[in-house]
Amino acid sequence: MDAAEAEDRGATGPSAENDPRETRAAENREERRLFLRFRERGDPSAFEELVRRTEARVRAVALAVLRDPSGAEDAAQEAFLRAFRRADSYRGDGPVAAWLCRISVRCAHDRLRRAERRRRLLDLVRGGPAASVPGPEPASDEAADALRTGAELRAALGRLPAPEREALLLKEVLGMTYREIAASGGVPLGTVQSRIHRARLRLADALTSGPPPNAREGRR
Amino acid sequence: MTARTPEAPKARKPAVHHCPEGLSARFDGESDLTGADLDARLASDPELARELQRFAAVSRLLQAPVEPDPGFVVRFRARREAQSVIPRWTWPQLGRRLAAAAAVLLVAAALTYLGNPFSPSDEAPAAVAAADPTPPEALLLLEGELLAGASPSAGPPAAAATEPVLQIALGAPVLSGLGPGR
Repeated sequence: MDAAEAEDRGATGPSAENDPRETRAAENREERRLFLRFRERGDPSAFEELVRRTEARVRAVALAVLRDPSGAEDAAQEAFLRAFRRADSYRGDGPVAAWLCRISVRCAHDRLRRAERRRRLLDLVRGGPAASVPGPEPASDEAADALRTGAELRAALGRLPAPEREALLLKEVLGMTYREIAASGGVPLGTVQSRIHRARLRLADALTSGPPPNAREGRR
Repeated sequence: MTARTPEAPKARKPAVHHCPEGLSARFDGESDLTGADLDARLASDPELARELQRFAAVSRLLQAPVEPDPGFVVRFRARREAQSVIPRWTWPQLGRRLAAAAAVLLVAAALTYLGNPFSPSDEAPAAVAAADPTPPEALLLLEGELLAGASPSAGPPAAAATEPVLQIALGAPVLSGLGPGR
């Protein structure tokens, strides 16, 4: 009996009636079963079913980083392709969705870094700061505030250390418990607690004290 | 005396340093990780209460609603097929299959171009007959004609010659003409 078969049997566990934790546990089991079916039997339809079940969450974490739906779509697609290619890198010590979301966060962050490199290159070519390049005009003050807040949040998330960023997003976007995050990352519970706390403080500081002075200059 | 030059902006430090980690755990509903004295501190320290409000603001910003998109999986499939993505862990399996296919092709090529070691010239007649797609009845017919002294291309054979041929063709023993009757 291979692991996929064992998961097939395990999938028929206790009923998950109305208990959110049980519901989530049942979803995790089903997603794991699909993933193992793909990995051990090479069944691409099982992977596609997994994509269908998890794509909203995988896109949501990318969107939290990028603040841009089309960029989040690209990052999520890239994350699924990476997972498809490297299914053997899943260690099996946490929910499959959490593993996919971690990849998605990294893909989104890679996109941010590439965009930043392009911006710097443009700076060099044009001989001035990229911030002086005029962006699209917001329709209203409210839209301008939203844009500014989104940009600040994106920048602040980009400055966080990767483990802190991942832990906070898994908590905030996926609603995972600290124990689930610890299990999926292979780290102690206390480490997860510290990471989430530090990430939250840094983001809160960045958003309440406004953008750094050079960024303010650039937007004028 | 040196003139002061404008300094690059330094990374700002968090405004609150005394905020306990238990506050985040409490905010996240991880009740078993919060300290026993946290509630008492929250009641007495308005700074901590404000901190909880800041956490809530960050949380609202991060939670952008995302609806499931049925087209996503279709686009994923198209992208995967366009890039011909092959799962990395299947490479060894794929390699073994390719090696087996290459070995079969090599053997086939060797048989075709270097000559068949089981060529008809060295073969026993029975083996030739087995390898030749010509039906055995036709061979026997031909043999009968030759025995009767008629060329296969020389028109209809004589009645005397046709008789043993027919016998042979209908399943009579090949050497029936040499039987005890003669």
